[in-house]
Amino acid sequence: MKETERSAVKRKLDEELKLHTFAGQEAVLKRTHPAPRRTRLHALWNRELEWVLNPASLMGGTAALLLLAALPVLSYTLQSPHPAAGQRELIEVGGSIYWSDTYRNEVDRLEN
Amino acid sequence: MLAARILLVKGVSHLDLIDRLKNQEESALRELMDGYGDLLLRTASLLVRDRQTAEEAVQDAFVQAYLKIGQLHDSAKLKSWLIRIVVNRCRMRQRTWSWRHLLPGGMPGDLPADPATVSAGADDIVMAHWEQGRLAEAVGRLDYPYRESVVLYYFDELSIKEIAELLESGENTVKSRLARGRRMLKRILEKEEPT
Repeated sequence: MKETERSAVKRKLDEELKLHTFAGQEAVLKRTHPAPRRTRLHALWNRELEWVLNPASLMGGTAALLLLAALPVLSYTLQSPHPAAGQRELIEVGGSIYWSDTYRNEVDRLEN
Repeated sequence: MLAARILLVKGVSHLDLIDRLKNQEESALRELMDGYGDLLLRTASLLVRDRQTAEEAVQDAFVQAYLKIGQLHDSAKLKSWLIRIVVNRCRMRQRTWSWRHLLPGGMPGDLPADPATVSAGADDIVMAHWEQGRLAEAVGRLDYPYRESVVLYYFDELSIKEIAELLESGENTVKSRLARGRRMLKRILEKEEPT
């Protein structure tokens, strides 16, 4: 009789918990069998990128690409200590010809 | 995969599976999780009352079982060995939020003169009420030591001796906790009963 009650309680608990199913298999395997670095890098390299082609994203993407392409030129222009080529002057010193600003910079560097 | 599940559920020799686990075969670990994952998750859910915590406890348990499979000497005890690991993980997680719930109850002084007699009566009372209530929720409201014994006895279907070994306590203590657990369960279910 007691055993019957025990199995009835078991059945009731099983019924109430039937939606509780273990779903952590992959998480466990990641911890017990971690993928080698090479595999992870390979997965990263082969990751697919999706670009939705609608007008807004196309314009945005094109603008971003142009900006990216122009970045080195812009950076050089903004940071360069040299004046633009049209504004530079050639000078002759000791029989050799130099850009005047380069010559001044070099003289300053040697004197200091 | 289905064959493995049947093999595990029926308690046929686990030697092959255990050997493959010792050889660190991924497929063996998958079979182990397929065979015992739900049982362990439901056990943990009854013990910690929180699905996420239960899921994490079971994941930890499988990782630990995989790493320490060499410590399992009797393949017939695979189920109770796994349950022991989960119970310990649940205890650890319980301690992090409320260590006082783990204070042992059911000391020898609390023992009824004949636990079996009292248990039988309490069983009838519980059975009269549980049909109307949510049993799992009521079990979750028991104090932890009683909940542990009730879950292992009723849900995991372990014997008193197995529970005593697993919890490292005496068989009389387990009987006492079961008897008191049933009485507490009855009170909880009575309160839930519609008037």
